[in-house]
Amino acid sequence: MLEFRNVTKRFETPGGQEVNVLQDVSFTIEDDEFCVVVGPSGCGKSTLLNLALGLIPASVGEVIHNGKTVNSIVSSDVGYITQDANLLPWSTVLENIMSPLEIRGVPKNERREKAMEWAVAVGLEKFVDFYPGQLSGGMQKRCSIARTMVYDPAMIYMDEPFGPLDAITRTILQETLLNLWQSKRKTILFITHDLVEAIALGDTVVVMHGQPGMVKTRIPIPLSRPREIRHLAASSEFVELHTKIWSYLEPAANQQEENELI
Amino acid sequence: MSTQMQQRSSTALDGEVIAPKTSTRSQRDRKWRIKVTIGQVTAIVLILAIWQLVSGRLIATFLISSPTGVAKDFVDLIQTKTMWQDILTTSQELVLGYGIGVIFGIAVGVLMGSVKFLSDVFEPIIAGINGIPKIALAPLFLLWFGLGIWSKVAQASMIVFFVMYYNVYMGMLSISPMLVKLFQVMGAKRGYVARKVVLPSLSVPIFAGLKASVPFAMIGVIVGEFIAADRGVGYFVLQATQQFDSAGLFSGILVMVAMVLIGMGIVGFAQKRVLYWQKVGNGR
Repeated sequence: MLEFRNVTKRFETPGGQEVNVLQDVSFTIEDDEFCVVVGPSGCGKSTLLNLALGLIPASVGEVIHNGKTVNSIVSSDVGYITQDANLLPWSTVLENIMSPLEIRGVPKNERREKAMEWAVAVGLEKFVDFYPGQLSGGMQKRCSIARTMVYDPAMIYMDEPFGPLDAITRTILQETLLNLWQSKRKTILFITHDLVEAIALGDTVVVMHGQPGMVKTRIPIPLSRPREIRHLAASSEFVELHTKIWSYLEPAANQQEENELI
Repeated sequence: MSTQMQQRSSTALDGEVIAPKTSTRSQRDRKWRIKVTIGQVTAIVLILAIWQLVSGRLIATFLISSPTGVAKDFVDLIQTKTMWQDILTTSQELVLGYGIGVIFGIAVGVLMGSVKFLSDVFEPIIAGINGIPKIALAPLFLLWFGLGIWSKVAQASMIVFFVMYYNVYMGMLSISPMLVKLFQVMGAKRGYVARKVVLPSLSVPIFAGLKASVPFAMIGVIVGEFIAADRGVGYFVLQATQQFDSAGLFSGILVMVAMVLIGMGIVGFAQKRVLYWQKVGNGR
């Protein structure tokens, strides 16, 4: 379980001014919940993740991970999937997937076996001896997902992981992710600026916007699982949810439009 | 000619004719390479021919010698025992100067790249010292380290140090902080990050430095030998110059070039071994 309790994050600008990036953010992610945070860029979504991972401290309030206040880098039982795949370019796909097991001192044979299993699970079995530079963006992303799943963390943080991919690849990877999540229940905090993605994946969607970023609402997504993402957008339930969440974002959009016209 | 035309029109009509297209491409590549080689050989032959023709006719032989003169002298030279002693001395100076410069350059670069306080304090100082034309220090090194090989070693390692230091320091700064954070979240300790993330990231700038340093080390050594020495290839060249023996001078330079090329070859060989992943990555 992860809880943000009245979290405010303040940064100092190079000019010495203090700017609030997040203001009084409170919400809870239950075990095995797929929680998606959606909002426009600049609303502090990624800052939220950095706080949860203990990469930066909160200015006010606290983040509580499994009953403990986060005050240094969280490195037990959590996974982190970033916007770029962040693979080691000098290691093969299999070596990349094996690296967290190596860190955990898993014996070599077992490492290979498990990594191979996950390479198969994400559809990279034919590419295990390839170097990341030889793979497409989607395949690199698959590799980074396998690298996280292989050590079976209970909680996974994902920061716009499918952002840089094309629409088709993104849909396929979303389906892969949901299938994996379906079979291996995990707590997921997923950050995105894509409303469709948020509804398609999440159990709950947390809507954020503003500068400083604030949580506007938290909406449960009652769509049944397993979901077939490629046909989801046509269903009336989906359209309804989309309209509802958009209504929260619309004032922010209008505001932003004005700001950008100035 | 006509078959090539046919192939071209068939590929234009349907994109499925892949095999003949790739074969003509590799053929074209090979033809291009042959053309380039012919061009290079022609250029070299032409330069040598002009040199040969001009020598003794337009410009005095003692000034520029001639290709045949240099060739003859070079063959004679590498059969003498003294030349090999000179080569041995210069090689020693080169290897020691290069080695010491590389080790210190990497060490200081890593240190400065990892401790912000040190880099804030020392970076401007190092930049200042680097501003000294290092050749101007040769007399000082002579004073400190004597007439033997160590003044040359010092001169070479001084130059190599800065080349390596800047490459490694910049390399340290360009290591992806995201990658390091990711591995920390995965549970990696400092040692693991250093071995598996930092060191491989540095291998690229280190090899860039190693390659650039070889000719710089040679400059350091030769300058040292020019200032004061009683053996070495640089000493030989200086002697030849003072005796207006231009064939000997050019032969000595040929020996230096050969030594630098051998050094570059060794580094290049090691680079291919260590940076295997880079080539694979780029050849997508």
